[in-house]
Amino acid sequence: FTKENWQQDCKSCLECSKENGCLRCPERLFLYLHRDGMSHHGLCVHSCPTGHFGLRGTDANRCIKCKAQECERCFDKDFCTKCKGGFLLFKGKCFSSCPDGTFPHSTDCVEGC
Amino acid sequence: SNGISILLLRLAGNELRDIPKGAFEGLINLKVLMLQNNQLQEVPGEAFQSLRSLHSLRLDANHISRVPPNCFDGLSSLRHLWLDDNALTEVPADALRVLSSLQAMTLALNKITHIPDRAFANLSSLVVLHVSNNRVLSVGKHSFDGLRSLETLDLNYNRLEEFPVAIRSLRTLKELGFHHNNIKSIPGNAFVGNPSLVTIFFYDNPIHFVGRSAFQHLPELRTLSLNGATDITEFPDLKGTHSLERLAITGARITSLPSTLCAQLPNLQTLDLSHNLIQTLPSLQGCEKIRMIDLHHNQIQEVRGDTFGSLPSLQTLDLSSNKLSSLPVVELHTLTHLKLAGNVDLQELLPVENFPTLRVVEMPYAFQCCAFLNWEKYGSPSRRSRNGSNDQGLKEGLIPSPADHDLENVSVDSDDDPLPHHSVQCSPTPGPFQPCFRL
Repeated sequence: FTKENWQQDCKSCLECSKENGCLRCPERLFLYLHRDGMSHHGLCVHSCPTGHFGLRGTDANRCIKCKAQECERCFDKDFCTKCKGGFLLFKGKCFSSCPDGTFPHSTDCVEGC
Repeated sequence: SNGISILLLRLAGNELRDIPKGAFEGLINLKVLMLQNNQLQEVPGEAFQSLRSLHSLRLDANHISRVPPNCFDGLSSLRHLWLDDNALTEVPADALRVLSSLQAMTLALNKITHIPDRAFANLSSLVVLHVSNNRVLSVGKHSFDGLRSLETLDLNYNRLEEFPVAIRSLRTLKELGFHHNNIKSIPGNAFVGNPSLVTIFFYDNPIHFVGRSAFQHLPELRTLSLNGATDITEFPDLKGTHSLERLAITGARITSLPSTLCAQLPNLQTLDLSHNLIQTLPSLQGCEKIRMIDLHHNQIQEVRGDTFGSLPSLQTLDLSSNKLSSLPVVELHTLTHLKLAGNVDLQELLPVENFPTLRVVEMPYAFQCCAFLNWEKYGSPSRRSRNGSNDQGLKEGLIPSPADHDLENVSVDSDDDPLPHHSVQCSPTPGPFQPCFRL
């Protein structure tokens, strides 16, 4: 992301600035604040990038960081939908090895024997 | 056949109004289908039926007001469903009935007014359910039956008037939110069916009454915050809620505390009971981990030696705006913040040596601060009185001359000085008009 093509990215915003990119997004898009050194740069997106989920609200929609451990994509802050490589997903959590009563199947842990 | 390799399909933001049957034919390995931000008025009736590997279906931010009963048939692997930010006026219970693998669903930001009994009956794998920002006025007694795996239930920002007793069937529930609703009371044994609860958010409800047994037997609960429930006159019985770390019950009409408080809550770290009518205090010994006690704006007349004595972690004690006239001589060697302002009858001096780690002090009167400020010129009261020059100590001390009113710069280094060798911020600060001795 470079400061030079900020006009290009401003096209997707309702409000924009050279320093911080998008400040406000059109209805139904998510504001994603991309960290750029000490500053943030805003982008308006249909779906949030890896490591974030889209939180819709009555006033604005934002991309929020996944809090779940070892998580690459999440449904909300605590519920993971896709784990980072080497981790297995079970009921929204990422495990390095499957919990008791479950066994590995592709990138998941599944119940049963 | 080339459809087999497609795993993720992004169709977000395409002005789609309808999706015909067969549109996704052959995508037997599709895992993620993104249809958010389109113009769908209803969920396509038959387009999804061949997607047996689909895990995630995004239908959020459309204009969906209708969900045909069979539209999700065939989605045997579906785990995550987004229907938020649409125009639903009811829970699509019939359509959901086939989604036994569903683990997470959001119906937030719709116009749902009621959750009927057994609305989610077959969703035995559902872990997360968001229904926030709707118009839910009522919930059936059996609305959540069948949700055997639910851990998070989000009913925030709705219009509930009654406590949702339907949660009683949710044995695995860990996080419950119903803040910003219109609930006026929480009944006794309210959470008897939810032994796994860790967090409950219910602020911004006009709650007047809470049953004494409402928060019993919640062994995982860490935080309990009740503010402005004016009909509460008794401290709740928290039997079996032994992991509680943060307890706040403010703005109620509690008059006393049970002597069993610390036995029931051995892990308590912060206790805020400000703005109540508490007159007497039990001994708080046993609250080994308590760091902050806030009792300001109560009716406390007496503090005994064993009330706060020997609490190994206590750092902040706020007793301001009570009816104290004296304080026991007690070692509070871990205290860093002590607030006693507003106790108009408390006119004695604090024995500074009993508070070696104090940093912030708020006293009823300025002269009580002199002992804490390192004044070589004026002699700290406690040191003068100990020298036996007069037993009045401060009462016959010197009046600080105007030139010395900038007290902060006065510092003393003396070996035998018992005062703490760090700065103590004491208010009200003595000065020309609030001298170090009482007029």
